[in-house]
Amino acid sequence: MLSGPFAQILEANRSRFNARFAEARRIQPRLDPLIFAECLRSTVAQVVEAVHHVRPEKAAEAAEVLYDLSLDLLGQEFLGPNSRYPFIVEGWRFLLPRLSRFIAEAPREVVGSTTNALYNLSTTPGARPGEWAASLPKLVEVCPDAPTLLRAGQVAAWRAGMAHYRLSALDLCRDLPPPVALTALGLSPQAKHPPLDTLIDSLKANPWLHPDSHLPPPTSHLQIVSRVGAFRGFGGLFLEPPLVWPAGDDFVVSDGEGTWLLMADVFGATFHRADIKVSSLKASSPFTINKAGSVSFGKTSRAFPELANANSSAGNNTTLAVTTPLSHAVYLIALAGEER
Amino acid sequence: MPKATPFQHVSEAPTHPGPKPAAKVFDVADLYKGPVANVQPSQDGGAPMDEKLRQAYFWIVNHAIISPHYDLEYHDGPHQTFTFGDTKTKVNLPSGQSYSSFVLLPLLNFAVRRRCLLVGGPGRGKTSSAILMGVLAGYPVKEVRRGMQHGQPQMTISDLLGNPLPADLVNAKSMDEIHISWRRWLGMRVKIIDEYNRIPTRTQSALLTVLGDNYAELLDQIYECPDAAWYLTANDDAGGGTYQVIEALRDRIDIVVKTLHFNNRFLNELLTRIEEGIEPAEVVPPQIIFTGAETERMYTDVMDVALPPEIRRRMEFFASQFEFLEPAAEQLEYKTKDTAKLAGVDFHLLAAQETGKDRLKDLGAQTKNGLSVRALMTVMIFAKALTYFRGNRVVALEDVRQIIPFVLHDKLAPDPDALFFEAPGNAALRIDRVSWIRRLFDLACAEYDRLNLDKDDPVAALEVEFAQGLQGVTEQEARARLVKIERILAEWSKGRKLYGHIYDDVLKLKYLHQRYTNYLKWLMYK
Repeated sequence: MLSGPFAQILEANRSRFNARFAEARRIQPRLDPLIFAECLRSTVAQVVEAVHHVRPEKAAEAAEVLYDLSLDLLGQEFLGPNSRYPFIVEGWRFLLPRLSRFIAEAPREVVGSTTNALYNLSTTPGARPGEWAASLPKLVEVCPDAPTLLRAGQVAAWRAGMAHYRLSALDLCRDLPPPVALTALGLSPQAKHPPLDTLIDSLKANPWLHPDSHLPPPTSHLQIVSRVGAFRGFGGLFLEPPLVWPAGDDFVVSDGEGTWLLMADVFGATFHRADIKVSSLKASSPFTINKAGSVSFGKTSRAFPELANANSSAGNNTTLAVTTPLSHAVYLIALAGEER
Repeated sequence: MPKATPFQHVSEAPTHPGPKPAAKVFDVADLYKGPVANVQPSQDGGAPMDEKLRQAYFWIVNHAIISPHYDLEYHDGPHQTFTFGDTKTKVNLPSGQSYSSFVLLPLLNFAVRRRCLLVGGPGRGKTSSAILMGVLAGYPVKEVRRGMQHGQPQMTISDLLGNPLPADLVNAKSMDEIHISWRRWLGMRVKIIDEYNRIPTRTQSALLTVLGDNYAELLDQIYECPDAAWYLTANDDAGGGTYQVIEALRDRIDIVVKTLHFNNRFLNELLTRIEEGIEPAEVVPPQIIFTGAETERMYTDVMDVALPPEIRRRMEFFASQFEFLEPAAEQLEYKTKDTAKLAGVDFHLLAAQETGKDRLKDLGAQTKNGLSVRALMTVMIFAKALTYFRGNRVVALEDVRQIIPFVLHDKLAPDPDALFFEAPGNAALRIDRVSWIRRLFDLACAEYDRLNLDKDDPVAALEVEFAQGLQGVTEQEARARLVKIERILAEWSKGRKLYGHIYDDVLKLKYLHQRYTNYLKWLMYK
């Protein structure tokens, strides 16, 4: 049984809300009124009440938006018990109430953007939607308004494994207030840091640099910084052990059937299906690897027995990607401080 | 990704897909693109206005209007046509994206903030359509309904515009001290006048000032109205209202939209709507609602659409057919239908004096009047709006062809006694004004092509020459141009009969001749 501000808003506009549900059901006959009622009770009501708590005058507007969006998303099975995206369901239930101040300010923008972000993080292999959802409440404390929160959320998405957003997220950091940018990068605004621009330049130059170690550690050495991709039967992308080619700062990977652009950094790696002719891809690199699996980078070298008899390798200024005939993974080797 | 389309869903796919964009660049802004469409404020790089306009159109077509008719037919290449019955009724299956005029034209009117008249029988959705436009402008349904002016025989100017404050009427020592409580609808960006032909004549005059000049006046007090899209409705525009609509008011109507009948095959949809109590205006998705700034931007964008000279030239040729009436005067400049009308002479008596011309071929013989400057401006504005809506930035001939019947619907008065309507198959065009005007435009274009005016237009060549300016033109050159003009006129005068387009060309040549003559005089004086 619903009670409280949300119940009052529903009661006051009963016929309109009922008509919206009826119209949605006309197009989505499977839309179950009981499930929708449960969604309103268990999820939407909490968000509306949280908004009512911070700005009572905005509760009705937020309720309208949340009602429409929940109806829409439930109909498409993004919300509700049949959802294929548990992080969206969890986000609505636990994250949105904590964003009440911003939902009151711009309901559709904040709720819609948060939902879309959770969807994108859920559908990107290797991304960590839970980590992103956990990072937003920290940003709430430092963000003055909804647009700033959403921009900071974009930076946080990069840190949650969306490697392909690295450069544009770092550019975005320059426009954010420094305390917000630092929090979005996972740093404490109270701690001592180099100037923000210097930090961003360092992070842009080296994808394997963590924001909390803004300069390459003096003891950095060659190591396998990441092992990405897997056999399709185990939830990965590749049918056959893949081969790798250079593509600017990134890599192109192909298993003979499909081709992907691989973008990787300290926070994760993402694959993007691409239509690229691999035969034309060439680049010079300071990395070399020999048949025994020994990788050299300038004066540094290290042997990696698991990379012996590599069947392809590709390097750029910071990373060497290597594949072997016995593995469906792509090994990424770079200079890094601590062993990962 | 989503499998189905619930009611509030607005198409996220391009509504009029063009060529695919270049290779994708990864941008963190993509994080917020997903199943919930249009979550970013549009001023920050959201959907372009033409895309939003199309989304609004498709939402109305798919959800608000039960049985849309696709009467604005566009074809991309060959299309199927079937013929029915003794009258050889053609059914085209358009191969391009086609539109319902009843939905599209009010929407274009919203984009260019002009005055739209919705005509048709009762209960066909005229008022509902107008209310939807008010909701698209961001007003709550209740406010739109309250702002709507209902024409009725007792409507006074005060009902329409507002009242002086009673205290001021008693205490004021001059007119300046009388404050007016203006009606709220005057400040709205969408203005709706329901059944405007039921408004008494005197109140119509007050309405004319607001509609035509965008301000209201009461007791020497002025209220400046914002730019607005107007929607007027009439059950029967051919004189069936309580009061005759004053001509000046009718003339201010920019576009006429006819409501088409309800297709009974959609009765089930109607039943559902009744049973569920669904009111489309109540459930307009927020992402297709336009802010004030967006409507401003949309208007500017529409005006930036280019109208190429070759299309403009065809419009000139078409428009030039109608005003000329040879027997109306002796002097060339006055040989117009307007001269005859002002003199109160029976139009048919004068028209009967015209001899030697092919009355079937002469398009001017089909109308009782010519086109006003206002009508021509409106054609260009709506052609641009249609082009913009279709995602293009240069007006195409087909855009003009599709829009022209609706703009000229009440502007071009047919002469039902014209020989053209007696010709086999043309009788229905006396009644169906949309098809008649489109036929007129097609015939004008065919004649334009026959005369090869795209490639061989001596007046156009002289216009181009003149448009380069007179500065630096030598006496010899000016005289050569004068001779050129005189030669053209001499050649034309030998055997060519005067038709409307030739009449305009002759007047243009006379104008150019006069400008060069004056220039020569100035040169010699210098």
